[in-house]
Amino acid sequence: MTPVSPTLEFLTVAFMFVVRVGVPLLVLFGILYLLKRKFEPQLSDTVIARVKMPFNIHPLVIAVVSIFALTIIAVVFYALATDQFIPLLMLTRDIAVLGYMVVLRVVVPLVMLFGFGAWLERKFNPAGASERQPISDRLPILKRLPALPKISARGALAITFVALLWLGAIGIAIARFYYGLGVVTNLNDQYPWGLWIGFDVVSGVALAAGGFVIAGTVHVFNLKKYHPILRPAILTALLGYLLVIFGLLFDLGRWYNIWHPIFMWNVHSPMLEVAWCVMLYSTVLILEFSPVIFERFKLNWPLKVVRAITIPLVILGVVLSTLHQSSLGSLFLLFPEKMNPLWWSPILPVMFWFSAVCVGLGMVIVESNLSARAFGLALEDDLLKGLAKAASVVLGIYLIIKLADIAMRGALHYAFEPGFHATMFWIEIGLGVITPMVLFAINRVRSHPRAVFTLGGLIVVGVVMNRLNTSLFGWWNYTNGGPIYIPSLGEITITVTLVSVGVVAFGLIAKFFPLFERGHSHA
Amino acid sequence: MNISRRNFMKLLGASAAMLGVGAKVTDLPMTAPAKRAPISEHQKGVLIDTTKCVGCKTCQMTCKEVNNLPKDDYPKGLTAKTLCYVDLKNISDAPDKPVIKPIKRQCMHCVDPACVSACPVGALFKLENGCVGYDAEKCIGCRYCMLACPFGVPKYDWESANPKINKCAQSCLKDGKRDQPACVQSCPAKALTYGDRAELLTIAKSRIKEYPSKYHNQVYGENEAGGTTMLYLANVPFEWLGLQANLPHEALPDYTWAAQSKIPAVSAAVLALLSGIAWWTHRGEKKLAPQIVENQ
Repeated sequence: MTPVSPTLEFLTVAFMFVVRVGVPLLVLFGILYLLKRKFEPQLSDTVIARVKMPFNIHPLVIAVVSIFALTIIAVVFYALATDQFIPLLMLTRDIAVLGYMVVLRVVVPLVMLFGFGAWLERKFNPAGASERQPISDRLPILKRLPALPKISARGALAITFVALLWLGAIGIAIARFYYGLGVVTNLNDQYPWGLWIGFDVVSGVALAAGGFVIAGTVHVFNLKKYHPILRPAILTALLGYLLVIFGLLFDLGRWYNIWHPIFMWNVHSPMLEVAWCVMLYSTVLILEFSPVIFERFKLNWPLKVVRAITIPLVILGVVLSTLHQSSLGSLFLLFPEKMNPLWWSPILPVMFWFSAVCVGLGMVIVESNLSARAFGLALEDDLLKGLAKAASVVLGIYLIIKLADIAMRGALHYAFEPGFHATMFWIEIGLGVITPMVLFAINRVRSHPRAVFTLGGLIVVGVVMNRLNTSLFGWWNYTNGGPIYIPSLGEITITVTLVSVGVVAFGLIAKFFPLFERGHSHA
Repeated sequence: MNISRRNFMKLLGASAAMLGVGAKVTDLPMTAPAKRAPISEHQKGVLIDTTKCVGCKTCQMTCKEVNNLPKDDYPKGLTAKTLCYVDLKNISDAPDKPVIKPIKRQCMHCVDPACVSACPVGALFKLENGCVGYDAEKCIGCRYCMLACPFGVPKYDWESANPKINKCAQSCLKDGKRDQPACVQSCPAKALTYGDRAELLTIAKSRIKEYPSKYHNQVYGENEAGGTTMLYLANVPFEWLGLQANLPHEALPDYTWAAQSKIPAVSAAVLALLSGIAWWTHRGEKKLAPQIVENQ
């Protein structure tokens, strides 16, 4: 252990202050602001008007300048934290001196030369000077440059945030791959798995379940009315799986050996099954999605080939998804003594598969609503109603199996022992399963798209909680009073970055590829 | 479920062929042992009599010496650089009157190791002499073994860009200079006995029989998690010494195998079911391949 420097300690305290005082205050004010906007719309309009950009500067310029400024601040902070502030100052001084020299010896003579030339021209050709053309005529290349895209202030903020996030993620990635996992994560020998496995991989695969659920519905059960949401669902699943692979690259200690499961087999390990399913199902998803690309570039014969094998492909995809979703549950079968029986169960694979179907429906509901907002594509109410009805039934079956399983193992009393685990359990079951199940069963609720959207979101939250409880919080470690694992800022940054990459990729593909079918567009 | 590996592979191969992935699956190199955890009669083990242990940590230091590990890190438990650790446990409730019981901790070299069944690439394996070995060249660093181990033994190089899983793999026996592990040889109190697991169990039970007042009536490791080759004797309940008390007596890999062995059957069933449904729902259509996107 190297001794902690006083500057680092000060920075830690400052960070803690921001996290514990600044962020709660911001959240509080945010909630107050939202309430205000809700109940006093006229007032809040004036507030929004006041926030408008005071100067007529292009938002991209603001974004670039603020990124530059924040990078400098970050460099200064890093220098402070590592006790290299004085060297940094000296470096800055050197750069300044160098810049001064360049200006003095290169720029000034050049300006003098051109100035002299201009003076000479005006002197000997006074008529030509008045006929001087505007600069864009003299430099035709300026006309050919595309106009900067129009971005709102909010868009500029979002771009700034995402760019900063990705910059930070690049730094963290360098640290992770150069120094090892211990430097950027809070993982240790007591907690070898953390956020990257619990969220990126275990929850990520669950959130990609919309792909196989809708593909099976459309192609196997031949319910053609769900076809409009098929492509976005498959794209989400594909992006989800690619992000799982990237998440794994970050998490695997010897990531350069990631290809080993192809050739080295231990059939007793659920991890091998997970690895194979990731590989095979990603391939199937790429094939399932490929018609979109072929259509875009008008490649007719591959399109025909892929369409001809659509149904076998989809069946293969559903088989692989079934195996994969359940194998993630099998991963945890090895730890009966380490986990609360509310989450450990000999039928974990079955539970994981059922909850994957639930979250598949939930994700499709959420996603189609988000697309409707972002791209102006409205879904037929009929579709949403059908999805909601199906979700209600599947959630009901899941709930019955879950409770029956816990009761049959005689573990029901754990749900009523007040404490962390029981709280997590009831939030997961009450919020994520019972609420949407009951409300989706009511016809009037199903005909409100906003209500359906919110309840679909609850299913997603519930299943993510279930995965996190299974892989992290449901472990006895969390209640025995010892040290607990909280993800580090680095881990959170990487996870948020991976999700944001997915969102950006979805947006770009939706913009440039035929993702949504024509005829459904209201834009 | 009692499916042998050969049958399993046949089934898997058959279903893979059905899936169109390739029928040559069975020809791929296999790193899994032919049978999971053969309970050999000649598995070697160590009997650790904690009542004889004096807590001198000679075994710990010898282990570090033999494995070229740093000796100046003062560990508080097993770490990536401490494969054998003598834990000085205070079993007294009174804060002013500590009662120290030493206990040597290391890999338990289970009879049916959870880590071996967990490792996807077979980087961990059970050797003929009972030892659980490790091959870093195969390891992908997924750390599933660390979670799988009921004793929390495998440790990880958190500060390394080329990390390894570290645990006792009895590498001190590999150079052929010793006929028993370095820790056993070095023990000045003769608290450690190396030998066949079956013999050690007899010795342990006879000691308990001979001095019933001196020993807690249990050999730790006889049944825990399906049995271990490192066996413990103590004069207090083992959980006081920090050994896990709530372990099931079945081997932990059985829980996973119950699910894993059903993979071929489940895949085949799902495949058949879905094909049947697809055929039924599309039966009226002229072409099987539907003209899905007709808005071109």
